[in-house]
Amino acid sequence: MEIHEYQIKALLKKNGLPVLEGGIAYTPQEAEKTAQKMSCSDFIIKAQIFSNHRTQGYFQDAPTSSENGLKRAKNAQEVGEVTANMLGRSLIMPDSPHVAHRIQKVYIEEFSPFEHSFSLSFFIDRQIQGIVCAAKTAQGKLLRFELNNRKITATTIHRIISAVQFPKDQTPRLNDLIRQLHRFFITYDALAFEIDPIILTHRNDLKILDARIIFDSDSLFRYPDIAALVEVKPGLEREAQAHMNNFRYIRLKGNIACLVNGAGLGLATIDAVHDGGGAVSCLLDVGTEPSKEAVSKAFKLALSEPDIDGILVNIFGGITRCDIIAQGLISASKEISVGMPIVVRMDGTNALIGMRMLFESHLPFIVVRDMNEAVTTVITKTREIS
Amino acid sequence: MIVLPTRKTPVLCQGLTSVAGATHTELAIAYGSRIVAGTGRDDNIDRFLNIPVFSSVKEAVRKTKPLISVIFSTPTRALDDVSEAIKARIPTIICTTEHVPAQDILKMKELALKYGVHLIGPSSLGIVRTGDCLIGNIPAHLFPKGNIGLIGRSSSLIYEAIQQLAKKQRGVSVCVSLGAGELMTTSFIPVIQAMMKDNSTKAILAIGQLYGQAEFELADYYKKCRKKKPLALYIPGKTLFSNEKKPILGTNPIRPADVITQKQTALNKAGIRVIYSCEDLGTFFEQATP
Repeated sequence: MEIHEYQIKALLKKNGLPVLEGGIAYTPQEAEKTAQKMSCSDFIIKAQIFSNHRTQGYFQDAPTSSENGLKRAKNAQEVGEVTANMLGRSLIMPDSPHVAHRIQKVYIEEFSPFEHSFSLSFFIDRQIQGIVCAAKTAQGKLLRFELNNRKITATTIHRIISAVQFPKDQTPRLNDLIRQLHRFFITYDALAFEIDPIILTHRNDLKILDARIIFDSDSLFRYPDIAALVEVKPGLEREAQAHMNNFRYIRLKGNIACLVNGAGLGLATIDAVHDGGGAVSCLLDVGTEPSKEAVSKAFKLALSEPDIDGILVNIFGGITRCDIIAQGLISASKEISVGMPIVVRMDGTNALIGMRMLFESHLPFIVVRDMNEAVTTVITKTREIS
Repeated sequence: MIVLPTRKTPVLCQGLTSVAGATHTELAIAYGSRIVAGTGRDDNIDRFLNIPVFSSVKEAVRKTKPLISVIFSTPTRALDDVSEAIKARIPTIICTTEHVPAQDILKMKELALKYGVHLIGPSSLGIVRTGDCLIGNIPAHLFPKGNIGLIGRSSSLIYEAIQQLAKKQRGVSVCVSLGAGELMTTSFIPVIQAMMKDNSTKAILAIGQLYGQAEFELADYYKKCRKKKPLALYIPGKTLFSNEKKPILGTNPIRPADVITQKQTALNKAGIRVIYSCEDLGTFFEQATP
């Protein structure tokens, strides 16, 4: 889970970390007022959208213009004008041209030029199964350290500080800052925390110019105030819908939607479809013990998936009961008309009951018992269509 | 190596009085397991399902000497419960809780290492010795008896493997579920060590994962092993790809197909039979065991 820049800055500030003076605004009037209260005379207005490429984007209504989601202003009145020009318009990011990010709020921050900067990150690395700290100097040199027992050592900090080449008198403050940032990452049980960049201002202050935090949705029970900030990201509506209903939605590229119960079986199913010459458009994983409602919602999401030619339901009931799955599939198909082949493979707990329910529903399910057969069937049937 | 239980192995159940704890303990007792003690949140209960309930793991250990603890907990309490079991030095600890925070898992792993105990999970289904004993929440009724030792990560693939084995008239001697998450605590080796010594197990089938180094470590271990049983391993996920638009600084974006191929090559070189497709999970053992 990620939050907006202004929310991150507030959180950093609350934790005693140095950020530049700034404030959030939802209207041009608010923006002007915010700017008036600030002690600086050079401002930057930043569109608050969920993208890490704000400077590369363009406005949907002015694709050829060089304008983007960042703009400078020299006084409070200009801040208001720039804000008025941004709010309500939509930004398009080059990496996802079909998603429009509507600007509903802007962050007004002191504009601070700098000569010295570097980037720092902490994250859980799944390959090494531990925490990694990485730093990148302004010259582009990358350093990577595996943190033993989640702790950052004096040696690691020393190596980062000597690599970034800040003025010598900053060493003690850099040392403290890196320790504080590490503590912040650990305190918030985050999956990743990137500070890009840390700068030395002309007033000789260390400041965090921009940062990104990926929270662990499993640990948010400890931080209800952060959990409350959850917002649906543009382009990720289906993922959000899945999350709200306790199943997982993974977007891939293909023409067959797959509904499974379990991550491992899901991966094996994608592999099998791929090996059979097909391609999976999305994976819906209802997990170990889904409710009838969750199955129904997942199946409806599969049915409404754009540009698919068929659906493969692959269930092996352990704790999962196949009759519950069948009930979910049937209730969803009664609500949405089914215009494509749906191949259902069921085995394990209550499989015979589930299969019988599917037969007796007189809905167009193609029911098979074997995974191999299911994969071959769905690929053949979808080929007939396309 | 981990403790591979039989029906004589004394087991502690943490969270016995919870709904999940009670349900699965009843099934375990009916299956033949020896649950000697329980702990629970409710201070007023001193006996539950005819099992003595203690106020702390320490006390349960002192009075009943369990070799295994199985934990039914919530994500909010899992770290405390696991830590309590580790500090009481129970040799093998199984945590069944799903959705445990990632950093909590790292803490558990460090603590288990420090105290020299084996933590299996979180999100483990437990261990079943077919027809003998059941610890955790594995649906043991699905398991046909046989001589294959099964080690799984994801629960759904454990079931798939059983099904594929059953088609070839093969069954499972003992099955250990290591938990499906991307972070792993106990890896394959301590389980395989125990299975190598287990008389009822003739060959081992393991299910690996894209993430982590466990498969490489296993290859190294197996190569050096003197007396070994046939071992086969399957890794799903080669066609997965990352949708991450801008990776965090310092992360090494991986290509799943490449990582899995590297793992498979290492396993092959070590004499471990690589299974390339989920549909072949049952076939290897036709040749491997009589």
